[in-house]
This record gives sequence, C-alpha cells and structure tokens, in this order.
Amino acid sequence: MMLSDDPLDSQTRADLEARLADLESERAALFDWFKRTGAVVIGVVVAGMVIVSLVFGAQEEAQAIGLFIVLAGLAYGAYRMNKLRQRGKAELMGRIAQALGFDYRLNAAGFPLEHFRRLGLLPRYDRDNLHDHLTAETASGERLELVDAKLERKSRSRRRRGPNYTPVFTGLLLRVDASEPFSDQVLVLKDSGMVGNALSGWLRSDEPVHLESARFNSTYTVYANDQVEARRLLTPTVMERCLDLDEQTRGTPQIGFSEGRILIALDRGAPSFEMPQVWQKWDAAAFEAMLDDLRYALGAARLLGREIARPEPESAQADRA
Amino acid sequence: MEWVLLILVLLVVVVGYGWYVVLIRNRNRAQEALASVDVHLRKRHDLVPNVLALARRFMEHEKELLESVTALRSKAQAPYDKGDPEQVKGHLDAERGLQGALRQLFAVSESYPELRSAETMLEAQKTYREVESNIAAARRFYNTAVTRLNTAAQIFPGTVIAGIVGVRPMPFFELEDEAMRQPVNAADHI
Repeated sequence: MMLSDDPLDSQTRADLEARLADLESERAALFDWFKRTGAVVIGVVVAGMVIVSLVFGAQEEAQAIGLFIVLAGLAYGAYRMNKLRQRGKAELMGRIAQALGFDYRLNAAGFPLEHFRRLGLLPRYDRDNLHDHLTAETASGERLELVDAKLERKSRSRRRRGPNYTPVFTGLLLRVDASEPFSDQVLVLKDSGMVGNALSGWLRSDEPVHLESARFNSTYTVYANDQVEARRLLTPTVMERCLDLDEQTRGTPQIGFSEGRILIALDRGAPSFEMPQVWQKWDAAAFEAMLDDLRYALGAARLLGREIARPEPESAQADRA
Repeated sequence: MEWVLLILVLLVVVVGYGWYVVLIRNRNRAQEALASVDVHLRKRHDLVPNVLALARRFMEHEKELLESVTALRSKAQAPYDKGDPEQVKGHLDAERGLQGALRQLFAVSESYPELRSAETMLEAQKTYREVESNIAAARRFYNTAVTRLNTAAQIFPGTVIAGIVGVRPMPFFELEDEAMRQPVNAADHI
C-alpha cells in the first residue's frame, strides 16, 4: 500500500492522542515536582547557608556547599526531564514510524557515514551525533535507512581553553540499497559558482555533466564518470523533484549514486523528530511536527521514485476480518 | 598607429584560435556522444532478430510489419561517416524509423495473447525498455553536445572559422517521428 498525504488512519491517531495525553500528565506532574522540590531545596540551602555562616562563621564553605547542592539538584532534575522526553519521543516516533512502514530505533550508532564523507556529500566535520534510525523497505523491495545527524567541526577559541565545536550540518541522511544496478558513480552536488566549480573540478577524476535545465545547472553541479549513466539516473522528472526539494530545504540537498547505493544528505538547519521541551505543553502539535518531519523524509525518498511499503492499517484489517 | 594595428591583429588571432579550439573540442565531444548513442543503438539492433523470430511464430498475418522491421534494421545498420552531418542525419532518421516500427510491433503483439504471455517475449520487452531508456539518456548527451557545437559554429566569428576549418553543424537526434508528436485522439482508442 502506498503512502497518502495524511498517512495516519483514525485508529492510529486516536492511539497517539491517548498516549500523548498520558505523557502530558507525566510531564506536568514532573514539572510541578521539579518546581516544588526546587523551591524547597533552594529554601533549605539558603537557610542552611545563613545558619552555617552565622553560627560557624564559615561563609565561603557554606556558599560552596550550597552551590554544589543546587547544581546537583538541577542536574538531577534535568536528567529526569530529559529521560521523560526521550521516552516520550521513542514511544510516539515508534508508533508513527510503525504506521508508516518504518522500524524505529532511537540510537543510530553504526550508520555508515564514511560513504557520505568519501563522496563529498557532507561538509568537513570532526564529531558526529547520530540518532533516530529509521529503516524500511520500499515497494520494490529495496532497503531504505534514514538518520538524523548533527555534525560538528572543531575549532580553537582564544577565549576558551578547550576545543570549540561548531555545527556544520544538522539534518537527515538517507541511504537506499538500489535494486537497479548503476555501473558508475554520479554525484549531484550544490553548485559553488563558476570559480568554485572550476577549482573543485581540477581536483576531480570524474567530469562535469551539463544537463538541459538552466535552473538545475545553476542550483546543482553534477559529476559523473559516464555521461550517459548520469542522464539515465537524472531524468527530467528527477531533476524537477531535486529542485522542489531544494526549495524546501535550508541547504541544497546533495545526492550520490555509488556502489549500488543512493545517498542523500539534507541539511535542514534543525534537528528532526524532536519532542517539545518539558516546560512546553505536549499536545497534538508534538506528533504533527514529527509526522511533518517524516513526510519530508519520505518526500526525499520519492525524489528517486521510492515509495515505502506501508502496512495495512489495523482498522482496515479488522474490517476485513 | 602600427602598434594599434599589431594589437588588433594579435587580438583577432587570439580570439580566432580560442574559437577554433572551442569548435574542435565541441565537434569531438559531439562525435564522442554520437559514438555512445551508437553503442546503445547496437543493443537495439541485437534485440531485433530474437523478437522477430518469436513474432514470426505467432504473427502470421503481420508479415508486412515484420518485413518492414527487418528492412529498417538493415538500413539503420548501414555504415555512415560520423563527420558528415547529412549522413549522420540519415542514420538517425533510419533509427527513428526502426524505433517506430518496433514500438508498433510490440503494440500489435498485444493482440496475440499467446505471444504476449510467452516468457521470451516478456524478457524481450523488458530488455527493450532498458535499451530504450539507455538510448534516451545517450540521446540527451548527444543533443547537449550538438547544441554546444552548433552554437559555437553558428555565431560570428564561429561561422567564418567553422567554414575555414570545415566544421559543420550536426543534426539533433529527435525523440520520435512526427506522427507520434501529434495529439492523441482518445476516440481512436475506444
């Protein structure tokens, strides 16, 4: 079954709303506990500091101990709130992903970033943080993987002692094991202007591919070992979809066809599939945002004519039974 | 005055040589693209005997169509000079004719259930689709190369330089024959 624009059936939506209501109650209770406990702890710490300073005259020690207790309390509170947020995200994402035909894991360690890096689809980075690993099978039986990635580059700061990490990519990485073989490597990269293209072109062994669309050529630069293969893969429909995706993404998508795999890097400038913060209300907007992120990712898969094989909704199965 | 004249002559020589380089590079590129088109067209030619052998067993009443496919294949396979635009045009026209005839053959074969369901025919149709997809890609490569060559050869001073060095504009490899470009009348198919 193919994916429609509103992919959740009424049963799944009702389940998600019920689960979200439970999570919202937990969130509100935890946040109240945090506020109440915080007020009590701060009150006790301040009173203790005053007493210790007055009785024992150890003002500095009292301040240090008080500060430590407050920080430890804050850290514990943040840990509990983050744990609830992660649990809520895993539950909601797991359910939404299942309804759309994906398997979901919060942890995405082991996702092969090296292939993306080797093809030059990612900016230079020193540290990666991958999560939200989604896997699915396309209608034609190909394996599709998707992760949310944050890549950072190390830099030295004069003001700070240690290294400073600056985000250089926050977005989605998509990998499809293509069933149709392609003999050569084709890369669709962000256009870097006449000078930039000429400079990067000198260092490459493959050659630029000049396609028919002027708009496409001003947005992307295509490199391939085989001019015909590049045109077989980049049909006018795929070119049009690449341009559509470029309009929806902060950074221009970069696409690679290599070693029987299709790789897409989409820099969105913000993490995907996130729950709202604990001090914000968790309402239907929370999973609608996750659903939008997934729709966007599916749009990227459709770019290459890939549809996810979606399971039949439970309500439809029940009706049939 | 002499200096100005010398600079002008130098300028003409530099521009002329630059243009000449562009023309030759584009002509070679167009010929390379034509060679890659031919590689894929040869695959189409190789497919024809198998399809015809199978079709003859079932399509006894389509003798005329089968004979025309054979004739068009022979015409398309005839050797030609890649440097002569007229001969290139003739070759590409012959290929277009063969493509139209093959398309017609596959369309007519739909009326023969035994042929349509034959395993070999299904395989042949699958291969045909793959070959046609590769030909379409090679055609795009060729047409892009020809656009560049023709632009360089048809804009002044390209016209003059091309005339001197014997570079001629090349023909485009059009998609299909004129009849196929006409709007489809739904009533004909109901």
